Amino acid sequence: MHTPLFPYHQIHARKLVDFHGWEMPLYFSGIRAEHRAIRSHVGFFDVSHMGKIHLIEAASELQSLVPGRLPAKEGGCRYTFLLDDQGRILDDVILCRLSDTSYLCVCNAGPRERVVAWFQNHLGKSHVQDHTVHLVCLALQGPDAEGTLQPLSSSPLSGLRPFQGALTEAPDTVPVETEGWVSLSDYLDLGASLSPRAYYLTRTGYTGEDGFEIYAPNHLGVALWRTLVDRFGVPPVGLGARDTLRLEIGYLLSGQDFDGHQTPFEVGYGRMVKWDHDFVGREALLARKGKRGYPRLQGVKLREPGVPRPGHVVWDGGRKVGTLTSATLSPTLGVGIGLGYLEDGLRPPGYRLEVEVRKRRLEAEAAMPPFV
Amino acid sequence: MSEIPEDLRYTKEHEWVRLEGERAVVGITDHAQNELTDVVYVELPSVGDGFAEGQEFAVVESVKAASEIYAPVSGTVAEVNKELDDRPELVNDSPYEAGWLVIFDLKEKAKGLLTAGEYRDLVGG
Repeated sequence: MHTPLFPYHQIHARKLVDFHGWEMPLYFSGIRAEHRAIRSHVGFFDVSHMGKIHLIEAASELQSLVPGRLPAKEGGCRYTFLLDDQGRILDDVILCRLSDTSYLCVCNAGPRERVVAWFQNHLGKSHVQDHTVHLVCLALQGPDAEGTLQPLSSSPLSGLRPFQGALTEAPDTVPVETEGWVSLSDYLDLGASLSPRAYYLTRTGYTGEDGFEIYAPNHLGVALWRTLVDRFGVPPVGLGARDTLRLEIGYLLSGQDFDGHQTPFEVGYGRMVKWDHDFVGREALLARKGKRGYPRLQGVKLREPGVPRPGHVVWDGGRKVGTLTSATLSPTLGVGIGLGYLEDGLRPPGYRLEVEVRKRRLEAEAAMPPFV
Repeated sequence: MSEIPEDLRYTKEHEWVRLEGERAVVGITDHAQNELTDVVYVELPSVGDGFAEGQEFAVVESVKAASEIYAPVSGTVAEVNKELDDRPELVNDSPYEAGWLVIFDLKEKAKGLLTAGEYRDLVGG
């Protein structure tokens, strides 16, 4: 599958990769340069492969499905898990409250079909619309994101708080074809018939920096991408740097750091589960609550040169205690970092471990993300 | 389009070889460094180590993956590129010059290497 930005990627990406069936840019100029751009200034991703699922007339039922508490007001966004009956994580998602009754669920590309089926099963088919291929999603990230994006938004961005969303409009200077145009309101319940320049903006991201995610009809999304690249000179960033950026913060990668076998307890997000309401998987989770001794997702940092990779074994004394699910050389720190499930619960930061990197056991220590 | 200098020899594993009399300078190709992405760490052999053609003699670690590098010739390591300890990115920035990996003293005449044209056919460059 291809996003509407693929013609750009095909020309400008130095390397394309398959990501859950989507042919996506791995990098444009270089993974480390793109990583640095976002940590120090600004850069942006095409993340249109993310699932964009519209949940209509679903607000009251939705709260009884997910373990987190949903936002009380329009524009609120929440990070939460979707669980199966056994309390195991199907996916981690962001739920944005678009109106009194409707939500946008942003899920990962890998489990998208299962997520759609999960919602259809629990809400009924007529309440679920998968608009993944109708909407572009761009993630503009970095300390300069607000100043960079402001000229492209009709509303003041300084008032948009983290995990808040709002409707906004692109100015006339963004070249949008008006012939046969569609509007955001053709896809999302935003309460009105909107102009072809309208898009939805959330102050969210996956890099640990300030930033925004833009949801726009395909034609407008492509025009915004071109404007950001060609007129504003914002560097496009590929999935390579997206992975190193998120790992430095300790954000989970769906399908890799959890793969359908773990509950929120194993990934260390037990505090996100609110027990004051019903949700799918509640009984199973309740039975597990308070028990100790299960493998926990843990940060690990190398103390000597070497590059850890997913699958590398972690040792505690003379004992294998787990394997890394995500790992790389941190571009910011210049040392190896990783996440992995280790037996016997969490170890305190600084606790001595070893990681077996290419047949050598390298000195490492337990760490509590964020790593930077 | 990756760069493939005419005066070098190549392997199917994307190494290049510059034959200089009894010696061979070895590195990885522009195509290889592009595929690997940003190189962050290079593990090189020691001077004096001997390798038979096809044996693993180095590891190039990029942000995304580790790649074993196989000896394109049989010989003894005469020099290693110490510069790569501090600046592994030279493998990306200058794969055919500053980013060389090792120099071998040839044990026997190099054989089976590809010409630039043959290598170009292989990578479709």
